[in-house]
Amino acid sequence: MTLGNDELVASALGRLSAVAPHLLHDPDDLPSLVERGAGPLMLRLIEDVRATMRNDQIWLLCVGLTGTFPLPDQLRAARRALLLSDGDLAFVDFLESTFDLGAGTAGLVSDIEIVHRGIVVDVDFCATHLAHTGIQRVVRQTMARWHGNRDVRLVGWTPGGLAMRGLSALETSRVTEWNSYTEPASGEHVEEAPRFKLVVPYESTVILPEVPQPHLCNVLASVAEFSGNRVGLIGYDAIPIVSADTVPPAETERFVHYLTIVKHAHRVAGISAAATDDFRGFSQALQAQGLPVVDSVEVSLPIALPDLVHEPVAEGVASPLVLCVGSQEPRKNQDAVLFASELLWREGLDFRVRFIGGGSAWFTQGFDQRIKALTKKGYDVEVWRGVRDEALLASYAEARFSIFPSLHEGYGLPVAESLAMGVPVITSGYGSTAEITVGGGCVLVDPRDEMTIVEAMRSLIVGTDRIEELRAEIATRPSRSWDDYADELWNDLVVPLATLPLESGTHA
Amino acid sequence: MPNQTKRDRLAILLAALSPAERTDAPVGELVAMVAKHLANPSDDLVWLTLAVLKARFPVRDDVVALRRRLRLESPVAVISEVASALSALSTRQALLRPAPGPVRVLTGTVVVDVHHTARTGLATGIQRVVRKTIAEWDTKHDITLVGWNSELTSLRTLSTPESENAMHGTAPHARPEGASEVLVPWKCDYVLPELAIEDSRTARIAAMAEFSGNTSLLIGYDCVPLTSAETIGAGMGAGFSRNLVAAAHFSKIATISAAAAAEYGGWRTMLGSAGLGGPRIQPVFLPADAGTVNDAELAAARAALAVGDLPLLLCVGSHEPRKNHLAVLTAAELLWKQGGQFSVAFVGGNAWGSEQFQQQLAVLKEKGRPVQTVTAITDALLWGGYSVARCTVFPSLNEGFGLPVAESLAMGTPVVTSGYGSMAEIAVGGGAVLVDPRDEQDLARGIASVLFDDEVNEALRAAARARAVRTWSDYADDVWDYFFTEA
Repeated sequence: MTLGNDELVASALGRLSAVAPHLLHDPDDLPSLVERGAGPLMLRLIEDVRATMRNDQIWLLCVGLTGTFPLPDQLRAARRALLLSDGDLAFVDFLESTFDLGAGTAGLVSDIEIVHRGIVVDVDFCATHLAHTGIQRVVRQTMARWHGNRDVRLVGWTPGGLAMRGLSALETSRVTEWNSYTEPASGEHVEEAPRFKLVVPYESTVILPEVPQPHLCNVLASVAEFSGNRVGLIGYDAIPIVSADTVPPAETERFVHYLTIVKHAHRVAGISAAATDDFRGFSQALQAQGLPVVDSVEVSLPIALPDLVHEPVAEGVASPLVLCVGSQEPRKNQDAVLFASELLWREGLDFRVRFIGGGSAWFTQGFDQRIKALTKKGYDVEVWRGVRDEALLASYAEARFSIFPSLHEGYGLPVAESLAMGVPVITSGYGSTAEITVGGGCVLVDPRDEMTIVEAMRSLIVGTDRIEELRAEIATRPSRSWDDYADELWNDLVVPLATLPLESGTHA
Repeated sequence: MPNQTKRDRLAILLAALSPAERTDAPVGELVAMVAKHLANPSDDLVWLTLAVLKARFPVRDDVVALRRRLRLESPVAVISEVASALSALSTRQALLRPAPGPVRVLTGTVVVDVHHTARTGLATGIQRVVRKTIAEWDTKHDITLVGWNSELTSLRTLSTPESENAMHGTAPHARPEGASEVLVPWKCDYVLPELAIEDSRTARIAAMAEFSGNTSLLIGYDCVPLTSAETIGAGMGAGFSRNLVAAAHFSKIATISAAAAAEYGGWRTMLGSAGLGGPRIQPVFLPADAGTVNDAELAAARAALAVGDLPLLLCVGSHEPRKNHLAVLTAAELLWKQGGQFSVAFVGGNAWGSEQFQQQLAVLKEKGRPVQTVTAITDALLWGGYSVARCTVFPSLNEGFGLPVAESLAMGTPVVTSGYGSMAEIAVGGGAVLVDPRDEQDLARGIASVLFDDEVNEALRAAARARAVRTWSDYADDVWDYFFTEA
């Protein structure tokens, strides 16, 4: 498609008219400037922004001019151009500085909508992907409750991460109606190549409930540092830093770039007290850079089941089932469970062990060999991979207890799931997993000391008294639902940001 | 040196486990005697067994796996197998990797890991701190300098040139000589004064710190790869985070400033989610020595850096984005456009991400602005430059210390620097003007006041000259006291 000059100019005039009310020193001039055209309007906007040198205004002007959100370096280049150019040449220098920015061209023909003093929620990944594990479940459960009930604007990003944009109807459904919408059959063409309207938050609250994809980190860091919008995040964990030895190096690399957003954000809601402390610690470290504190608040996830109705299964005549749910990787410490099981089997205890969860080949190959070796010795141990929620729930229903001695978790979903199913849990006695157990129903161990795991398993396999006690504790646990979580997140993350007094830009 | 046999290693291990026992027994008996110590063993014994018998330091998984085997199986069978693995190794793998030198267990000494410093020709911030510190320690205390083998799997003795280079930087291409001994610290203090980011090395340091029972001590420079990832190259974030994984099991970290202590302190808060307490952290402020410079060197520095009689603004450091040199160019141009009469000289190498700086530099040079860059730094040029400059500027976005600030002040030359973090700490002693490095106009105002206002400049010079002198000897003593004297 070749674009006519007229179309480009009309598009530019539209965008500049949209940003102008926020940048002109005398907004009454707008109609006459628009009448004179894109050039004169742009000239005046540059002149007015140059007089104040506010970063939020420079950011908005870049967006208006190019239809693209500036990266930090691009914003600084534009800022330098405005600072250093002589009088009328500011126009030329500024345009030159934003040339790379506009060269994406997609932005140059986009219409924009300014969301002024509103609430914008970036759900790009959930809108465009079908994955539905940890983070996506939190985002979709929350957005199902915010959408329609709260005044929020859900957004994604244009291809290449050039600018925020509105969502299509299907994308909105993926985010807000996960359990009821129907994904079109693959190959079925559902949407025209979209020409989305860009959504530009200004003096607004921008919420990042996902961990943004790597290509969006830099542009979002710029939003957080320069745009004047208040940025709030859900903080999941700092595993790629604190337990860097348990993840591939690339994951740590991605995470430190994610932290470049966090360092300029205004507020983080941690999914557990432990996760909240992770982000509070990171904020403390920022003192060395003279950056303001990133406020953190704990909004713990609920203890809730997958959205499925389940039929209770009576514990059968088979030997007790020990269930271990979660991806198989060193951090989750499944090898310690294998060790403890073998020791107890050798003692003559009768029980079965079932692992449910996938994993990367570099770990599962060795793990599967160890499972096979134990099976050969006649022990009852199995691994289920790629099972549906029904099979998972049936396994919980069958289990005497579950075990989750992870070395490090932001939350520990399998612990919460197990409790929601009324199944006692053996888990790690610190961090987020220990928090979940406070209401009862759990036995705590030191995951780094496998002998404590042995003791805990033995105590729940031999006899049923202890199990009955734990089941009774679970029955008395206070309930906490996704409704509770969504409301609390709104009140503790969004409201405090939306009611912060506006700064007059980051530079006087 | 002859290769050690299985029997030799068992005897060495036994001697460390139980110095009173006879070690001249046959292999079978030695295995049984060692195994007796390893029934339901503590982690330090498992670590020592692996390090000595395999002449290769274990990673975490190695220790945990052997500990579990010793609980599930017969210790005699397990030890016999571990000890035999070393002879099995010598067939095929011996062709691929050099045979390890003889194992020696070091006991009750201070082991200082200077693997990188011993072999590098570099003399930037970290190497200077390491060299000055260990040279001081070496004169006052009994320390053992060590490095790592070529695979980064075990500590080894340093060759004489390596030790020389570690302490004085005088043998930049130092290499190991012959088959170095494998040194296994046992009931020792292990000091890591340099930055280790190689995976194999940090994984083994982590296991040693967590399991071996040695006391581990670190000099902490900064956490920039964690807190300012936008300013670093690829790979550093992951490498540094694994360094931190090891540091989590250390006893103490001596940071080079309060700002660095804040960074490490924030990281330590994060350890709670993994059930770890982390090390003690305390700042031990770095010194800055004033260099000496003779008349010839001064003249040479003036010729290289100054432009005619214009007052010189000097900026020392590499052009990586974190150092914020683009802001210096912008502030300088603001002042030149206002008619300011001065020249600028940058002394420092090119680095990752300096393209935008180079572009802007070219633009200014084309405009005929008096700006110079010198990439090859010598001591004479550096100290001469500080002496010749009317003012230095160091508006870094994040520094563990900010050596050029301290150096400039030690030479009596005023400095314009960032109003927070370690730079503000250094400035407390006087002689500096603090600015917001993210605001080029504020930076320009700060520079102008020092460059153009004689009264301000003179007052700052007087303040800089009046600063208390802190020497490398003071620093080395303070770190030593913190590491070894304080409870």
